[in-house]
Amino acid sequence: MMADLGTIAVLLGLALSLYAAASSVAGRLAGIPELVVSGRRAAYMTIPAAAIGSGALVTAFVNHDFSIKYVYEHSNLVMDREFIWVAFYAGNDGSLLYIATVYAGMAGLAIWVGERQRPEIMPFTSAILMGVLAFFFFVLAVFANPFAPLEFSAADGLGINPLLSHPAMFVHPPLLMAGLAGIALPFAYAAGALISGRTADEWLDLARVSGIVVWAILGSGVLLGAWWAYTILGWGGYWGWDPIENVALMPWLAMTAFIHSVMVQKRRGMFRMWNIVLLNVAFVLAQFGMFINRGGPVVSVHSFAASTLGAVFLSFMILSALFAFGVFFWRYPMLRSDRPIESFLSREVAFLVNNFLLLGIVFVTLWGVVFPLITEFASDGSVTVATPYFNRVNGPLFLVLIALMGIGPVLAWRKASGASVRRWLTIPLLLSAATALGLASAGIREPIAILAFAVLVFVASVIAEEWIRGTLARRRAGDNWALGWWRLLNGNRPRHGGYVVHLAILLLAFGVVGTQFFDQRGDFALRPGEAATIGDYRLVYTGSEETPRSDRVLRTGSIDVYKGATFIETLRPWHAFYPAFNQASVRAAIRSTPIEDLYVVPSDFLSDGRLVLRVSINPLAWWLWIAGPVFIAGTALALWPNPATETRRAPSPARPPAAAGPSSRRPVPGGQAEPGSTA
Amino acid sequence: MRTALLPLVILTLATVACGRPEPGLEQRAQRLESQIICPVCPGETLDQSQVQVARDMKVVIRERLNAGESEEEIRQYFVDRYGTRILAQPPTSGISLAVWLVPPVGFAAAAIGLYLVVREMRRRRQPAGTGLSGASEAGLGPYLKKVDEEMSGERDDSA
Amino acid sequence: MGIALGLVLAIAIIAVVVWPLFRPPRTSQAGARRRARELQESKAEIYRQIRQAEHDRATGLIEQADLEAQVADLRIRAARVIKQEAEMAPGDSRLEAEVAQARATIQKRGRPDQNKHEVIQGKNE
Repeated sequence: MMADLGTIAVLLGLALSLYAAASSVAGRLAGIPELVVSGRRAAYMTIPAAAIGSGALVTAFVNHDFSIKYVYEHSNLVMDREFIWVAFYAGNDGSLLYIATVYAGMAGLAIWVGERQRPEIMPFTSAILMGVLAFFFFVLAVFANPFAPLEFSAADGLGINPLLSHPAMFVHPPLLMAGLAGIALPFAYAAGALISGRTADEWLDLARVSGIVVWAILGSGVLLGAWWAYTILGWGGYWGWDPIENVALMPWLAMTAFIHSVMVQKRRGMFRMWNIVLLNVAFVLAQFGMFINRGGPVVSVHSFAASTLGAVFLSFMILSALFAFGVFFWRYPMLRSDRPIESFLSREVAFLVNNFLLLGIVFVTLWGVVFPLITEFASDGSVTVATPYFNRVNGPLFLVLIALMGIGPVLAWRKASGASVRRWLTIPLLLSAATALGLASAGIREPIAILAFAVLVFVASVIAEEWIRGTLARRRAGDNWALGWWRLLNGNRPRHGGYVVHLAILLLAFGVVGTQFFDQRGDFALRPGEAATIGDYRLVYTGSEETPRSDRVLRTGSIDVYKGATFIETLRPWHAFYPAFNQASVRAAIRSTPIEDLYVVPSDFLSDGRLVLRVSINPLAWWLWIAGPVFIAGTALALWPNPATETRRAPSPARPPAAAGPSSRRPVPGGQAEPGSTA
Repeated sequence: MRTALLPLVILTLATVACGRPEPGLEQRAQRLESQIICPVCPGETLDQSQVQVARDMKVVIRERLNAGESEEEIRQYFVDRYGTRILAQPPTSGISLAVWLVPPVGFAAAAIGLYLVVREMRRRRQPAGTGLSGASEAGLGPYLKKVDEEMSGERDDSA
Repeated sequence: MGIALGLVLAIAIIAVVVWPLFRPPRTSQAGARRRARELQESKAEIYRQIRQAEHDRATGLIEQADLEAQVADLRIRAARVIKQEAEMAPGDSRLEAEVAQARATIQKRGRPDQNKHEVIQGKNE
């Protein structure tokens, strides 16, 4: 029953999204507003259609309806009930249905907001949004039907992939998929405006705000994925430059470039063409990510297995690229702006260099991802491009990019004066030199790490200097310290939200440098009672216990941790072997402190009673995960709507201007009403 | 500018001066582990992998290091057995030299391009930029007045 | 059962979508209001930039000359927006310009006193 309902919902979604795209464009071109309104309604109606489809699938999971193939393949009777939500998008078909659902919601919201702010561009924008949605529904209906019946009858299902039984799985894949799909939103605003012939800044605010939102969603998804890898993949790392990780990182980096560069357009009316190019690149990279995820030709630890959808997604990616750049070159003559750059030493140029570096990282990463394919075709001996390549090539670029975070903010728009730049940078440079000397004299012997820490201190002190000087300026205007700082942040939320995000990046970099350069690890095979020593820690394996579970052999080891002679705590990592999957899933036990993580993972319980332990000390890993909430807080601050423009209304003619709400402007002395109120 | 450069000089000297100690056997082994791909698990290096094959290969690495072989010899040993794809980073020879050359060359080219574009955009300034305020101020007088009034209102508002 | 439920759903959704085709679209005055709001917002944005420039001067990020050049430019942009606002309300625009002109000549004679415009609204930020 759920299969029928779900199939109808998917077909309905396909019809609605196609109709919405077609009738918006036709209504607009033929000048029939009824048709545009009807198309818009169809766009909104894709939300219930997709939601009912998803609801049908989740209900089938809850009812253990193994007559549906997808339910049979991704769940069983004994699985933990809460992971039904994960099973919903654990495979190709269900995850596409999830994407269609969440994307329909995002697109509906985008249309609703756009309709209120820029209706003149919306017919084309919603047509683009619905075109992408129609593609998802089309794939669901033709190639990846999650409601396809099982050919035989089964009493129990195969169960969920053990690696997915992790709390991060409730949020990491949904955020990642929503972020990748959502990049269509800012792109659709920009491309819709271009097609409408609105080539000035009509799309700017809509694309900026929606761009920051999807950028934050994608970024959170990537970071949560790193946390998942850290706690479950059992090698003590969190980022492996795996193709799937790379294809999520690349659109995020392109969007990072966009949300920086768009500020130049907002502030100075420059870089119009460039910003469109960045959105196009981000959109195509997002399609590339979905292509690689769905059966692309590269090997990866976490792509959807045995998917045949590669060609379908590749075609859609190529179509997207042709469309995006076709529109761009068609409108190219209308996009020129003649505002000059006044000086090399200006914030405009700093943003250009930022874009240059970010796209450079994207390019280098893309090159690393596709290079093995090139060699595959070009020569007999194929090569692997993995972590060492990416670290060596991208590491320096990231470091320069971070250093730029400390230079850009002190460069004024148009042209910065050398004197003021010197004045601003003296103290941060001194502090960073002191850091380098301090670390070197404290016995740290990693020159690159020292350089990196010095750069981090430099950037952090530039941000601190901004806030201290700004607060001082507000204090001169009569505020106290706390109020002055708060008003400083509040006075220009996008800018200071940006600084908070920069702080999050610094925290992340702090953790990366600590774990990359100072980690220690060892593999030990211990009998009960034996001890292993690593760093200052002594780990005593006291024994293990087996918990009977029907679908797995779950063993929990007990390891007493001593630092010197003092007992600290007992760690209980577990190891679960799933015979049905012939696969083990481990959960590391991590003793996390701001200084270092002690990370213990049971690689294997050997038949002779020994426990194989992978132990590592990951300095500063704690800071990686702190970066997440700070990142979110900064984004929220930057996006917080501005009451000055939100609540300000023209006083109504019936009321005297003086009573017209708390934030209306003072009428001019001549007594006439504020301009705009008479409209 | 000299005052600003001084810390940079100190910084560079400090980082260069401190040098690095000679790595021990275990560190060399772990370095190799991060450079060699596990043959049965796609894309994972030996230190990332959890399977038995990887553990055996780690033992081989340590035995050979103990026997006095150099890191290069051990890498070559694995390349001979499994082919170049066993290395986590491509060798700097033959066709895979391209993977190392393209990024820096592309970067240099793009940097030069960027410089030329900015210089071009700077050139535009002379004809367009200067006359702006004088020419367009005509006829805006009363409105400029109003700007000042509204701004002073804003200031009362936000102070 | 599932098919029946699905068909009911489909018919309901199609009805919602098709309905506007049989009704004349409402003509709204929203366009003018939105234009006014846009102008308000772009003006507020310019004012924010002026305040930011003054703040940057106060913290020493930019020199006095740069501040003056920036503010001069921004003031002209704001004035253009106000001019557009005035033009949107026909009738009023000429009047407003005249009043402003008159006030300008008055203020040339005596130094304008900003503080005499008392603040009515509360402090809300």
